Formats: sequence, C-alpha cells, structure tokens
Amino acid sequence: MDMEALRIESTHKTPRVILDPENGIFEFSGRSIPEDSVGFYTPIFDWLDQYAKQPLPMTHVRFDLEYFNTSSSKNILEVLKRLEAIYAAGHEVRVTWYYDEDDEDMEETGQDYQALLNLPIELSVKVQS
Amino acid sequence: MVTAESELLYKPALTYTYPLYRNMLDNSVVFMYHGPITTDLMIDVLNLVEYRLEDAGEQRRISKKLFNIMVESFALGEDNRRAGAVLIVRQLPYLYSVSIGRQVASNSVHEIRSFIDWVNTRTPDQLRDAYHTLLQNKSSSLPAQVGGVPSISILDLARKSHDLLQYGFEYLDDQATFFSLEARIKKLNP
Repeated sequence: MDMEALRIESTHKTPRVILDPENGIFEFSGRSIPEDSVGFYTPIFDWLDQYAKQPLPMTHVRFDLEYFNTSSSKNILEVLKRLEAIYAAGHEVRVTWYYDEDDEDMEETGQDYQALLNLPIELSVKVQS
Repeated sequence: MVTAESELLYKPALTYTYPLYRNMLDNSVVFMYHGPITTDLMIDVLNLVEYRLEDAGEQRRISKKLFNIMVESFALGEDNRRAGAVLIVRQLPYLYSVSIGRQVASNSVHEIRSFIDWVNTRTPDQLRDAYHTLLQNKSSSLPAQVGGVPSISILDLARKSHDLLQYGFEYLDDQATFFSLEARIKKLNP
C-alpha cells in the first residue's frame, strides 16, 4: 500500500481524523459541528474510496466523538458505508464506537448505525481518565 | 422631528432592561441569545452553558443531554442569518427547556405544524424508524425539509428529549411568521 496517511488535526468544531493505511488504524475523535459538513468529509470519502481498492486484511476504526449534529451524522454514515463495502468484499473491519456512560444519546447513535449497517460495530463505554 | 429611531436612542436604559430582566426571572431563563447563529457562536454558548452547569453541580447525564439538544437546536436556526434567531435556555425545578425561535415563510406554517404534530404522535420506535429513513436520504414520504427547517433536526430533538415538542407561531406579515420550537429535558429518568 503506497497511499499516504490522511491526518486532520482537530479544531473546536471539527474532529481529529487519522487514516493510517500502513497499520489499518483509523480514528475520528472530538466534536463534529463543521459549518460545511460535506466540505469537511469529502476528502475523507475520497481517501476511503482509494483505500477500498486495496485495503489491509484488517482495519480497525475508532470513533470517539464528543458531540455532533445531524448533518455530521449523515456524513459519518457515509464513512461507515464505505467501511461496510470493504467488509462486504471480505476484508476484516472492526469499528469501535466509544461513548461516555452519561451520554445516552451518543450510545443511541451507535445503536442506530449498528441497525443500519451490516458491519461489526462494538459499543464501548469510555474509561474516565 | 422625533423619529422612532431617535426615540429609541434616548430611551433610558432602565425602561427596557428591567422589564427584560423581570421577564427572564419570571420565566426561569438562564440564557438568552438573539442574533445570527454561527458555529463559532455555538461553541462559545456551549462553553458558557457548560460553565454554568458545572457551577450549579448539574448531573453529567443531564448536562450531556442539554448539550446535544442545544447543538441540534442551533441547526434549526443556522440558515436564518439575515433575520437572526433566538435561543433560550430555561431552568425549572424538574426540567430544562431549550427553545429556538426564527422566522419562517408564512405560507409554510401549515407544513411545519403538520410535521411537528405528526412527530408528536409517533412512538419512540416509529421516531427511530423515521430518523433512520431521513438519515439515509431515502425517504419517499418524509420531506427532507419543512418550510426551510430540516425535518431530521426536529425528529432528532423529539428523540433526545423523550417528550412532546412544544411549538408556536406568531404571524408577522404575509411573508414572514415567527416560529418557535421548544424541547424539554426532564431531570428525572424518562
């Protein structure tokens, strides 16, 4: 795999995104309430479309989001659909959806994605530091 | 000549600050904002409210829910920058309430009202199914927007608040009507 990693640092309104094709470890963390949600996520979709052509046998994806709006929810679903396609093609993909134990809405969003996708999504309570 | 503008300019501050202050106290308003809603403003408001909640020793479960509801309420006012929107947070003994007010086209009132009435008569499972349909953009019967307001945001507020959405309309003229939508969060477990 000669793709370059995609790294986007977090801001107070956009998440930190790390897509590391060398180790197959992807991470989305922080807040996702960008003004232009499609503009923020489009490079991520493009990157994933490239990765899907030659994915690693195992990809581990970690979502650790603080809060996000429904506009971002739609784009996160699009990210997950791309991962679902990789999984459907016979590659292993494991998604871990972290949520604060006091945040029932974040847990429910993880359950929504579980229901909508044919993809292993594990819901995991964040360990308080 | 005394114009309405000059009259406003020389009006003693107390004549409007006190009624506003009194109104906020009487209605348990802990935060109120009027103006254009931007993401940067949203972050500032969330930080401010977070500080107030921490200071008041509020449970994290409630703070999280209030935050999530505020984030989505902002989305309902975001595309109304010219006229501005109003966001009000009220703290009552057993609940918090988040209201968003904005102008909508007067000819869309019926559409918005019908949609909220429909949402308010759904069961939690029906709300979830409708939300899933809109999330996937594959709705044949559900509109993506009602009167310029994203319908998924209304559904999201209904799901998160576990309560009926309260709403109202104030007719301004043939073009514009003021629309307000309130989501309530009970402090006890739903």
